[in-house]
Amino acid sequence: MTQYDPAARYLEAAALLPPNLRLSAQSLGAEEQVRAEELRLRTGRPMTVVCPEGEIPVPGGAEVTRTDLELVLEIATRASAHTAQPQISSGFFTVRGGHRIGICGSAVLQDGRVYNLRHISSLAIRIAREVSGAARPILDKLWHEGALQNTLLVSPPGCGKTTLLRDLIRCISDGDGCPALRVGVADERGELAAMRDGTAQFHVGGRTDVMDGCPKEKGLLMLLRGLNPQVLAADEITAPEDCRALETAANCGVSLLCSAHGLDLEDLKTRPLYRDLLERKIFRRLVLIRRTGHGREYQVVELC
Amino acid sequence: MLRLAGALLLAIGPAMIGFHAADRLRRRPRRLRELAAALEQMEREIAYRLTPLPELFSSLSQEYSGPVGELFACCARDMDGLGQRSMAQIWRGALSGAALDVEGRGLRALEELGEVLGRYDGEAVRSALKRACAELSIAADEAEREWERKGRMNQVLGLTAGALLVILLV
Repeated sequence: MTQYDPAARYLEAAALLPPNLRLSAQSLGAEEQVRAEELRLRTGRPMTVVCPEGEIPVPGGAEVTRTDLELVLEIATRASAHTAQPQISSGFFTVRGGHRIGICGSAVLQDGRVYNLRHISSLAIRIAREVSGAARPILDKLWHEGALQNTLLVSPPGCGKTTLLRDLIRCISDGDGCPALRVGVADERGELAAMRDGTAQFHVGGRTDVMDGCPKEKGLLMLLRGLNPQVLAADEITAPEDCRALETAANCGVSLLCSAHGLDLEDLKTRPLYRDLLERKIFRRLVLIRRTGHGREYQVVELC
Repeated sequence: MLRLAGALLLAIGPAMIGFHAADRLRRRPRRLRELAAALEQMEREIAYRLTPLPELFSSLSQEYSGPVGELFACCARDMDGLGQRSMAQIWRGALSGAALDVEGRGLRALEELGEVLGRYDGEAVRSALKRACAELSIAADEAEREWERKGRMNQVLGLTAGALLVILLV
């Protein structure tokens, strides 16, 4: 486990770029490097970096070409695009270090399903971040009579759900500000723990077991059966299968920590998948995340 | 005595050249078939085991000896520099470094394979590998015919040239 350094994380993400773009990215000011959230590349446009205040151009950045985008994928997949094809066809994939590359291009359909993406037009490299202490303001509100309540973190994309969930996992696992519990993490996309050779690249706590690269619903049940967790965590609940696995886990007396895309409680109620979860009272706490200028604001809603 | 030694040297020189040329022709089909077999193995690994290229290059370099092994060893070594050089550049560098003795359509198919390797989906890579395999098999058949046609002739020509030099100069 290495010490988290945001500038080093930025440079790690910049190392995914071909030489000409990498040099521009490395020339970005030290302060911007620390605050950078994403690197964005669009064919025919200069590279930009997304900071909390918005998207700013990278100084001295030449126009991005289609070859540049193909080279990013080549570097990110270690010249093995064939191994990442299922992820590429789903529009993103996670690379070593937990950084996520979102891909945009022309879809190739086969049997009515997206088989691949060709003629890549844009890429968004989201830099995996770790904010130690991010969960501290909300931690004690998630407990009731000594028990961790099933909690759902909700925000629009890019507001820091994964970062908050990761720090919650760390706090609960290490007993930082709360009783220490065993946490099982179903890290389907490898973003929560960023496992490398069996070791987490992020601090996820000393009592945490991570099942990565496995579909969430299967990973959750495998953890439940095999590792006797007290808490189960999963990022971005999007499918009915995930919900079924969560319900099974909740019925076994395991606390849940999950995240979902959304605006607020009303927004979740309009979507059948989450409405069902809320009606069944699977989740008892909702944490709403909002961007505020240079930071984030958390609101904990007690559902029941 | 000196005269005899000189005559022997005169005879051995051209004969060696002839035998060397024949040996090259004899080895070429085997080398081409070995390269085709390695590419076929690559295709299977990519299709069924989804083996990443760095791992694949490394295992092929251990499995094959001679120039074919050298080609994959060079690729495996240079994969650390991916990012500084593209996969196509790494492949081209390894192709020119290894004494594969491939030319014409076979060489073109191998160069084209480098443009596809690592960039596209498995299917595109597999079809480029199949094409290169087919071209190499054709080249190997051609090389075998060439060996049958010219192999013995090169040896005889070498010996004859040596003998002729001895007769003329000694």
